[in-house]
Amino acid sequence: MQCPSWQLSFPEDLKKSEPAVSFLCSGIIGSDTEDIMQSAIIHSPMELVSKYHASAQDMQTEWEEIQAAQINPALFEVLYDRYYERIFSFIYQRLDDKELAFDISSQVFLKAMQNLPAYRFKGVPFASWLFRIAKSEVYQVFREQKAERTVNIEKVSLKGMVEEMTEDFYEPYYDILKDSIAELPEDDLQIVEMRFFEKRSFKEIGEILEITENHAKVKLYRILDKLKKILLKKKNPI
Amino acid sequence: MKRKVNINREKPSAEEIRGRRDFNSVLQQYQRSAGTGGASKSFFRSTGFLVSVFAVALASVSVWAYLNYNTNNLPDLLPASKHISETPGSGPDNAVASVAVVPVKMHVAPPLQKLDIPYQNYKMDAAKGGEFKSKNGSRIRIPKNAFADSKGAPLQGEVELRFREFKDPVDFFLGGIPMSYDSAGVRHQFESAGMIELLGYKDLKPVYIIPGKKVEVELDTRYSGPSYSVYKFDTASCNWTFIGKDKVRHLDKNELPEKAEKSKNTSLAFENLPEVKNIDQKLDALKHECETKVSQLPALPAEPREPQKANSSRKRFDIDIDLTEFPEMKEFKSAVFEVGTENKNFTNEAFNTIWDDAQIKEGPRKGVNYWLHLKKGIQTMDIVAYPVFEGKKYTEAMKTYKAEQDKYNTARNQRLAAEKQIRSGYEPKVQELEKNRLELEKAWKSQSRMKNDNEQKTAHVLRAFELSGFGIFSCDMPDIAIREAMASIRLKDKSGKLIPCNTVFLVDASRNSLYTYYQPVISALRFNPSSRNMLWTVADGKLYLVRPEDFKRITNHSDSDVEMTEADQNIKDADAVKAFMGI
Repeated sequence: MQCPSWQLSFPEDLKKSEPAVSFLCSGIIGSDTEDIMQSAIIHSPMELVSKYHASAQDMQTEWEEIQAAQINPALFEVLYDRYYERIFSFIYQRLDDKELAFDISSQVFLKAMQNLPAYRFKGVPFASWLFRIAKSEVYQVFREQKAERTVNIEKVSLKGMVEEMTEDFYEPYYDILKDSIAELPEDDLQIVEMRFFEKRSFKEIGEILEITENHAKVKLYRILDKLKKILLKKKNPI
Repeated sequence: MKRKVNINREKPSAEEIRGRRDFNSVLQQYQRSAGTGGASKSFFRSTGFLVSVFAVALASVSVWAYLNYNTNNLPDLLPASKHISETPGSGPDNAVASVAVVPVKMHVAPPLQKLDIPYQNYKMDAAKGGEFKSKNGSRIRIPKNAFADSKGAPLQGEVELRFREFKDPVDFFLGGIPMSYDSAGVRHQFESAGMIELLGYKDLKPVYIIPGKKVEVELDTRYSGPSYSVYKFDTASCNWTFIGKDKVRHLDKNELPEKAEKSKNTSLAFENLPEVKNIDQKLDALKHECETKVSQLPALPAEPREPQKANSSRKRFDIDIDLTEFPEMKEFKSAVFEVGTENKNFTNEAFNTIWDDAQIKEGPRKGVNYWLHLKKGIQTMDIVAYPVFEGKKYTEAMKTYKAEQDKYNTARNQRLAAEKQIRSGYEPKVQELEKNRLELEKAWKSQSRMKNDNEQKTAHVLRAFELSGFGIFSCDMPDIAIREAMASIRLKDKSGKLIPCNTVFLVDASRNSLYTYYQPVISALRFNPSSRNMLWTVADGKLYLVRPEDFKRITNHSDSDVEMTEADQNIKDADAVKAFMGI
C-alpha cells in the first residue's frame, strides 16, 4: 500500500466508530478501502437526495413504457412528466439563464424522442440516458457560445466540502474553495458538481459520465486532494 | 477557464418548473422533425419535405463524389451482406447521435449460426443471363450482360448466384431477419408473404447489377392478397426501404401438381403434430405411473376353490402330497383324488400294481384337476384326477371354504377400493389431457378445412417484382392484428431458473409474423388469445419454446412463470426446427 499523501477528514462520530479510515490514501481504491470509503459516504453529513436509483421492478416497468413509446411516440408523455423537473434542474445547475434552461430542457426531450427507437435497456435507469443527452445539449450551447458556464453553489455544500477535506476551521477557506472550483478543468468540475452540489451517488455519476463507480470515486478524491493542497497553500503560503 | 459562480441562487419552485412542461409542443416538434406532422399543410410543401429533399440531394452528391473519388465509377447499388451487423457502429446502442433522427438499428442476425437458412447456389453465364427455379418454386430471371465488378466494368464468364428464401416464422427467426419497419420514426410490425436474399459472386468476389438492368423475381407464396408491398433491407441504414408494389400471378394448372405434392408431403398427420405427440407422451406416462402404483398394492390372495364331494361310483386314490411343493393343495390335504371320466382307458390294473414312483402336476383344467403320473420300471400310467372329499371331511372342507371365501371377499373389496383411489387421483389429469387432445383435433380439423379452403381460394401464386441490385427483399405489409390480451410472464427453464435470453419472439402461427421482446421477464406481453401462439428464444446457444397448448395457460391479466421446453441439441436444420415447433 502506498503511503497516504493526505488523509480525509471525517466527522467525529465516524472517526470513533471507523478508526480504519486513517489508512485511506488517495491513490488506491482497493477492495478493502472501498468498503471504508463507502462507509464514509454513508456517514457523510451530506444528505443524498438524488431520486435516480430505481428498483429492478421499476426499471422493468419503465422499460415497458419505453417500448410502448418506441412504437407510439405519444406515449412518451409519461416519461417526459416523470423526468422533466430533474432534467431542468440538471441543466439550470450549469447555466445562469432560466429561460434558456427551459428551452434546452425541451430540446433534450425532443432529442430523446428522436433517438428513442435506438434505445436499448442495459440494466441502468433510463434517467442516465436522459442526463447524458442533457449534458450533451448543455455543452453544445457552451460551444456555440450562447451561454456562459456557470457554477451554482449552495454555501452549505461548500461547507460540507471543506469539512470533508480538513478539520481545520479557517473562514477564508470558503472563498478560496469557491474560486478554485470555478477554475477546475471541466471534467473535474462535473464530478465535484454532481457529487457535492447535486448530491448524486458515485453509481449515478459513473452512469451519467459513462465511467465506473470506482473510477468516479478515484477521480473525486484526487480532485479533493488537489483542492486541499490549494487550501493549505493559501493558508500557509510558505 | 474562469466561470461565473453563484452562491445560494434562488431556485425556481417545483410548481414553476412543472408549469413549464409542454409535452404537446415537444411532440409536435418531434412529428415535424420526423416528417409525420403538418396536418394542415401538405407534406410535399412542408419545410420538412424541402429540408429532406435538400438533405437527400446533398447526400446523393456526397455519395456520388465519394464513389467517384474512391472507386472510379462504382455502380450505385451495393450488395447486401448479412455480415453488416459486424460493422463498427452499426450495432444497437444508446449513444446520443448528433443527427436529428436515428433510425432503428436492425440487423440480419441469425440466433443460431448452425441453423441459419442455407443458400442455394446457382451458376450462370454472365453474357447469356438465364433463369433458375428455387427448391421452393420461386423463379429468378437474370438479363444478359447484367453483372459488373466493383469498378463498374461489365463481367464475362461464370457467375455464382446465392439464393435463399424465408417463407414462415421459423425461417425469419432462424435467418435473423428483422420483422419491424421504421417509417418516419414510427415502428411497424411486418406480416410477410415471404422474403428472398439474392447475392452474386465471381471468383468469390461480390458482383453488382449494372444500372438499368433488372432482375425479375417471382416469389412462390400462398399469400395472394393485394396489401403487400416490396421492401429492400437497407444494410446501411439498417432498415427496410419501400421499393414498390408487386404483381400477383396465379400459377397455371400444369404448374400446380408438383407443388400440391410438396404441400402434401410437408403437412403433418394429426398424430404426428408435436403438440399431439407431447400430449400422447404425457398420457402414456400418466397411465404407466398409475399402473405401477396399482401393481405395487399388496397382492390379492388366490380365490378359494369350492370343495367337491366324492362320487361313490368313481375310483379314488389317496395320495400323500408334499404341501411344500403344492401349497395351493393345502385346502385339499384331507382330500382324495377321483379318477376323471376323461380317462377312457382306465382299468383296475392301476390299483393292482405297486408303483415305484408317483408324480402329480397341474391337469388340463388349471386348479380343477391334476395329472397323476405313475411309474414302475418302464411301465407308466397318466391319469387325470380330481380332488374330492368324502363324508364328514366334505362338511369340514365346506366350512373352511366358506370362512376362506369371506376372507377373500374382504381382501378383494379392500384391494378394489385402493385401486379405485389410485386411479381417481389420475383421472382429472388424464381427462384434461384427453380434452386438450380433443380440442386440438377439433382445431386441427378446422384448420385443415380452412387450409384446404384457402388453398382452393389462393392456390399458389407468384408475386412478381424487379430488382436492380442484390440484397434481401420482402413482400410484406404492416401487421394490423389486434392483440387484445395482456399478461405478465417470466420465462423459466425446467429447473425454475430464468432463461438468460436477450430476445424473445412471440409467434402468432396464424399470421406470418414475429413480435419481439427483449427480456425473459415480460411485464406486458400482448397477444391474441384466440390465435395459435408460441414463444421462442435462444439462450446460451440453446433453443427454447413454449408450445401453443402450454401458451393457452397464459390468460389475460395473468401473472405467471412459464416453463419453456428446450430443443434437442442435435437438431440439425430448419425442417427439424419446424417439426419441433409445429410449423
